[in-house]
Amino acid sequence: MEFGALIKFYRTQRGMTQAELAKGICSVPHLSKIENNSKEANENTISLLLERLQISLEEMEEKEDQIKILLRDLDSKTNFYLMNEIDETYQKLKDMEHLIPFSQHIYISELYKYRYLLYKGLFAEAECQRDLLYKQKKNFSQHENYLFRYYNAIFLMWKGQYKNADDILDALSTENNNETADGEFLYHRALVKSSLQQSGHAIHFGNMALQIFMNQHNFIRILHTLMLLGINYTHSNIYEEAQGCFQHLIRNAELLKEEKLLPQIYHNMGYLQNKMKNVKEALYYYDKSLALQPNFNQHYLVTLYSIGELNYSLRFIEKACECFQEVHSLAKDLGVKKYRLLADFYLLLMNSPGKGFKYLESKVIPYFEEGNEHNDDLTRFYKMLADYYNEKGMVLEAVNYLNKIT
Amino acid sequence: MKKFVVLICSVSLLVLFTSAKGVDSQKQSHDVAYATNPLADHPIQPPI
Repeated sequence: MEFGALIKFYRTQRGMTQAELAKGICSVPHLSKIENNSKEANENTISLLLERLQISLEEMEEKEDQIKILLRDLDSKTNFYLMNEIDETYQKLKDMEHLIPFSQHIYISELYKYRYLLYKGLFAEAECQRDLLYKQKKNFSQHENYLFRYYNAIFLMWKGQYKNADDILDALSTENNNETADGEFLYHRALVKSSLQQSGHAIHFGNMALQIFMNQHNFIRILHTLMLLGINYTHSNIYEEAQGCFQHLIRNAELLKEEKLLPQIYHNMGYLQNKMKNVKEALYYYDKSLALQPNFNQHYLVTLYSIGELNYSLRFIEKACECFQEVHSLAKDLGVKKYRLLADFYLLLMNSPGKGFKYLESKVIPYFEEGNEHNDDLTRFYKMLADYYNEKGMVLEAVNYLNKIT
Repeated sequence: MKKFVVLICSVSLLVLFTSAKGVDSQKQSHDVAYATNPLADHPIQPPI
């Protein structure tokens, strides 16, 4: 513990002068040097000074140990994704906040706070914490610097800036000679790759993370990793493996009472069945997912949109129309432009194909091309437009869109 | 020779455009083509 700073803090808080505190213990210049950490004082002097301030040396050392244990606990609970238990530890640390600046753990503590805020989805506060940490960057140890960059990558993932997050994680991995045994880090690498639709890489890192989580018996993260692998096996057309992942997930999520995860698993199972062209099964799983989800969140929106598309493909126009109308209003309420545009497109298409395709060209495609992260959607829409123009005999336009696909 | 090449190209283009228009007049509807389009890929990623 930084006793010099601690003594100065409590002396000021108690309204004592240096002379009053030092009287009979040491000289005023000596106390001044201790307070500024420019002189290493012996334990006896420190003990006497603290005693006069009515603070026990033993108690302080005990508290420093407590801070260390709490930080370790916070780290472990984050890694094990124990979201309900993490608040209790965080609160205990907050209760000791006034002592942390005098401990050796000041930067680690602030870094873990940053991570905690990110995990809790408190982005405005996380942003402030990031700015605060940025100013202290030059004081960080190598490990603290690593953590800061890693958490910044997680922050970028939350903001949907996957390419930038990937660059940071890639650089961190290269600096460590690709030798990390941190399951959480590998999981995040896999998640970024999955979001960038680089399925091969996502499967590679996902399997590495899974192995580590299994060795640690980190059950919740095992479920998350299996979901990630299921999605990417689906993307890579490795259907048997994907189905295996989702079946494990359905069994174990029920067992572990992961109610929040279950509708997402059903959705992704629906997505797999859809890719396998088992349309009825897909609809069955999407419906099951929707029934378990609370309204008015983004996942509900994605599932509802998928059901709309399935109904459209089955020519259940009335049902499709109902879905897209609900998607439109929900996307508007939630401020999700992507699904509002998509719902509007289908609603127009069902009413008048000409207007629908015009909207697709003028609104939807420019938005997707600008985002540069919706390649699958774009390919599908290019194909739809190429077919449309081909049917209308507008060959040049059709060829233009076909060229975009390749 | 040049005239022959130009003639062949013109004939090819004519055939291409007339055959494409032929498809349009035969189908008259978009329904079948769009119903078979592959569907959207919208999985839900696990939490960060």
